[in-house]
Amino acid sequence: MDLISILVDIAILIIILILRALYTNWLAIKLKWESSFRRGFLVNLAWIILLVVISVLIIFIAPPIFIELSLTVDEINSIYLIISFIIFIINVIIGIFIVHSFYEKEYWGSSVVSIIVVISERVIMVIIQASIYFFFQVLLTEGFYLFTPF
Amino acid sequence: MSTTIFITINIIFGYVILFGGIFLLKFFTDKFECRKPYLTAILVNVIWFLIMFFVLSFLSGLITSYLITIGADSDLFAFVNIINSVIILIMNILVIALLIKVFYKTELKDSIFLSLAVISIQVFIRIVVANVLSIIFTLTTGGYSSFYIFQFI
Repeated sequence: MDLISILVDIAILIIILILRALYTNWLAIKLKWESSFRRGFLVNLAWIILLVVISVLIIFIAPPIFIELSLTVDEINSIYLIISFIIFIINVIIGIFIVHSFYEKEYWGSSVVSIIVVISERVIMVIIQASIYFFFQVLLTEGFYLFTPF
Repeated sequence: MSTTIFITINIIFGYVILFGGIFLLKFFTDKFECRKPYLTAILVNVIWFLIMFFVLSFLSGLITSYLITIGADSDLFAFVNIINSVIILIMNILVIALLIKVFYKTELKDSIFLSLAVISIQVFIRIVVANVLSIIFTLTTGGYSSFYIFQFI
């Protein structure tokens, strides 16, 4: 990862954080919870930090293990498929617990907020990825919002 | 197991998840204190399914045949497919929101929230099913297959 992609990542991370905070705040208000932009921002900050830590850990830990075990490309792809799915589930679970602890509300509401945020973000990311690939012929596999492999 | 079996399983799960929307809708409307019998939830889901099945399938068919006519390349096909899926998703959210507004007499913003909740949970379950199928497919056949457009980023 070069310096430019890290800077682009950080800029995208900040924009996403603000948008997620606004969105979470709106969802919480719709659920008739006591909410503010500040609380939404803190929820998403904690959520993203945890997710970035897990993602970075895997990005740095997984490749040396694969090399040590001398896995084939097909085996590595299969493992990444499983890891990406596990990270997706962990993302939702982290979201549920963070929303629950910050808003102090029931789990079903926290699950709904967490799932809506994760799914909406995923749909938007798919559009962005597809557009970048189609218009610039660039397949972003690293450095883009840190979560790209997942 | 062949690819056809996996696709069939995925389609069956797709319909189960689609009509599972009845229970999701009933659950969320109850939580929002818009209590109505199951019949209303069934009606909303059936109308939604019919609109989706006929109108959206027709539109998707038109777009695909147009792309074939102009001899579009695979990149354009993939891109249009993704944009098409996103538009269908947004249309789904709007259609079900309008149906909730009509049948449950809620405010538009509340019905959009309810619709967003139902659709998001359905998409979440579809992603889980598609990922599990892909993992089983990879482990059993050694191949690679995607079963849902939003399965991977």
